[in-house]
Amino acid sequence: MATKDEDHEVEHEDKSIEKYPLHRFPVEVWDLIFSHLNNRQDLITCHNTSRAWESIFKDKRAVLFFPEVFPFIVRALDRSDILACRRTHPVWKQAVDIYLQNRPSHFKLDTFYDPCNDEGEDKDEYLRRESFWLKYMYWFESSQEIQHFLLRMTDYAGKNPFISRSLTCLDNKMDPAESSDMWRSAKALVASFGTEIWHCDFVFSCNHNPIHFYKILRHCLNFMPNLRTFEVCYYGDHHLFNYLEIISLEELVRLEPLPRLKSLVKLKVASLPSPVLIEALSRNSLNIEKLQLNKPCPFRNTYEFGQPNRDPPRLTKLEELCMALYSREDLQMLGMTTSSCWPLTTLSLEDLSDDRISLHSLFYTVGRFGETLKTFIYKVSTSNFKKRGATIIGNDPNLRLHLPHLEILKIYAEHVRLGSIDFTLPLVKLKELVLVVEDGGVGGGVGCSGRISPWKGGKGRKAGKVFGGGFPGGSGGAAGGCGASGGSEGIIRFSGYLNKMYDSNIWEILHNLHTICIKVNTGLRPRNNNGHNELVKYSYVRDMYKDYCCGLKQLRIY
Amino acid sequence: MALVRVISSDGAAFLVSQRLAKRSGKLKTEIETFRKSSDNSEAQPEIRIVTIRAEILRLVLQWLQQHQNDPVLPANQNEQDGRGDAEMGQSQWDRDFLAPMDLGIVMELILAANHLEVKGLLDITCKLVESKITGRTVDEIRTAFKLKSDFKGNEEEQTRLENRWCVEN
Repeated sequence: MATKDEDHEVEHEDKSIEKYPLHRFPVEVWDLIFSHLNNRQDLITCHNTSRAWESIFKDKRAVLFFPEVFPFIVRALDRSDILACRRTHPVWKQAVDIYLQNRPSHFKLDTFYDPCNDEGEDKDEYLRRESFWLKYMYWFESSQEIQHFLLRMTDYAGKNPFISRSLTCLDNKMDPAESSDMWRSAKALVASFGTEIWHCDFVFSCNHNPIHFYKILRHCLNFMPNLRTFEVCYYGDHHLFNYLEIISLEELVRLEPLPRLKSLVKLKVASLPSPVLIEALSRNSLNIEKLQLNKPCPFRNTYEFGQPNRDPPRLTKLEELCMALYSREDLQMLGMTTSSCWPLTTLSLEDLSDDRISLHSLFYTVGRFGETLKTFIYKVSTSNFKKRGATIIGNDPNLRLHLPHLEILKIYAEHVRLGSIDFTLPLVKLKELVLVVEDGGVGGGVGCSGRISPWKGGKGRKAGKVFGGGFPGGSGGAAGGCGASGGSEGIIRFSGYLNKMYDSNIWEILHNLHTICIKVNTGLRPRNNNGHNELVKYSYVRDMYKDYCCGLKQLRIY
Repeated sequence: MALVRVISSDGAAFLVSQRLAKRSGKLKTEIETFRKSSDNSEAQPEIRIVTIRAEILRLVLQWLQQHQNDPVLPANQNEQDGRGDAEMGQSQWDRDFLAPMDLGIVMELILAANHLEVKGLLDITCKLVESKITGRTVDEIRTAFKLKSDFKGNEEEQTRLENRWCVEN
């Protein structure tokens, strides 16, 4: 039994150990203890816990902190520097790999070129370069290239030879034998390393009939269960499919379905036969978050071949959809879905239709996603509008876009006159409005020619605005009012105000609006004679300290 | 002079002027939040930074002290990494400030500058680390960062094989 003095001594000793934990064990033992902590964050926490422990980690800081520091410095490093980092230390290698394998560029859908976003060209240039590098790291265009890779990896005993975990197989062969050889090699490649691939892009040439194409696709996907992003393009001209081919394909899909890819979040497809696309979407309906549908609309063939009652798959996690509209049927297909079926927050539509898709029907269809949609991007194909001979859009006083949660609206309608933007009246949460339009020559305020005189920059009105009459005083907006074409003014002052939107009542009507960016085709001769019309850009930002006014942030002439 | 008490993760307290502290975006927000929630306008704000230890916090405050009269850095920043866009001229003082530091400390300083939103410090520290990697061989990088090759078995050889494909293609 311990005496009182001994007890006191023990207590004292305990306190000293608590104060100086290093004294409990030699440093080597602490090293051993910490070596069992696999979680880097735990190690950093230990490092920051006390000065005593900090001294143990003194020489390990460059290892511990590198994964967090790497994203700050990577932009200044070129490919050889990044590869050198991989060979420096296992933790550095892991940090580089995790960074490259999870870059947002893998997960990003193609978006339309944004003519208004020219402020960050340098940044975009870096992202383009990075995206290019990641994509081209494992890019194969022939059987020989794939065989060369497999030969190089003969001595490879590791698990994953793909630094970026991305694989691109581009089949652009005219010769069917070469094309078949290439896919035979691709099958061997994915059979060896398929489980390590997270990002895959396949482009099939027209050498394969739909049945053959499906068999290759299914075979490869079976070996790549961990795909996070998948892009597939099939150049087979399915417009020439006959009814029997489609029936055979549907039967094959039914008998030999595609595998479910549990980690797949992004799917980008082009020219896929409808049964294959519907199968891919249905199999992965629980996890796809981003979907890009390029030519043509996925369900068109289903319509054409007499199965109009087939519902679009329920993509319960779909947040982002990028889609080209080639006909009214494409829009009808989109109209068949609802926000609960596809909970979209971002929708990008490019109108490439030869037949007219009216803004009424477009806005009505898009309105079905009103419960969830926060960003809507709409691009009108110039050539099609020229064909149609319709150059003024949006001047119908009854036109409204009913998206109560929309925060960003971008309309790219270069060479198209936008008569009015009264359709934005229901957009009570709109924060950013981007318009690329033609100088309509409509409305007053810019002289009788309607041509906008390029300003020399400067600030807009700073203090209280004076509003004209006829303002309904609510963002719900009465449907009535006058049309905006031909010089008359709508509810929102837009026509004739392109170069002085700071003076528009839009800032009062749309209370949450923070930024307007307008790029106008003036129709003037370009300075650099590069063949394009001169564009003038105006950016307006709400002055946060004064309720209803804004400043002209910048002005550029191209 | 209005003061603010900034406390590091290991409990060290630094008393600095609010004017100086407000040059850090994070501290500025914290001070303003404190002002809004406090009834007593004379009360001294106390901000605890749980992710930064005393040695590093002292260095950040020392850098802020030196640069307190610099023009305010542009708000426009790189969305990717939070660094400032402006080409920051590195003064002789900055070079002397960073020169004796171990690169591990500089890395910690990068994370602290990012956390406290001190763009100028973030820029110069990142540039220093970048310069120790750019154009260097693996051995030179290891020497600069005092790293040992901790690869196990044939791991290094496998990494070399993986890299070789990217270099040659």
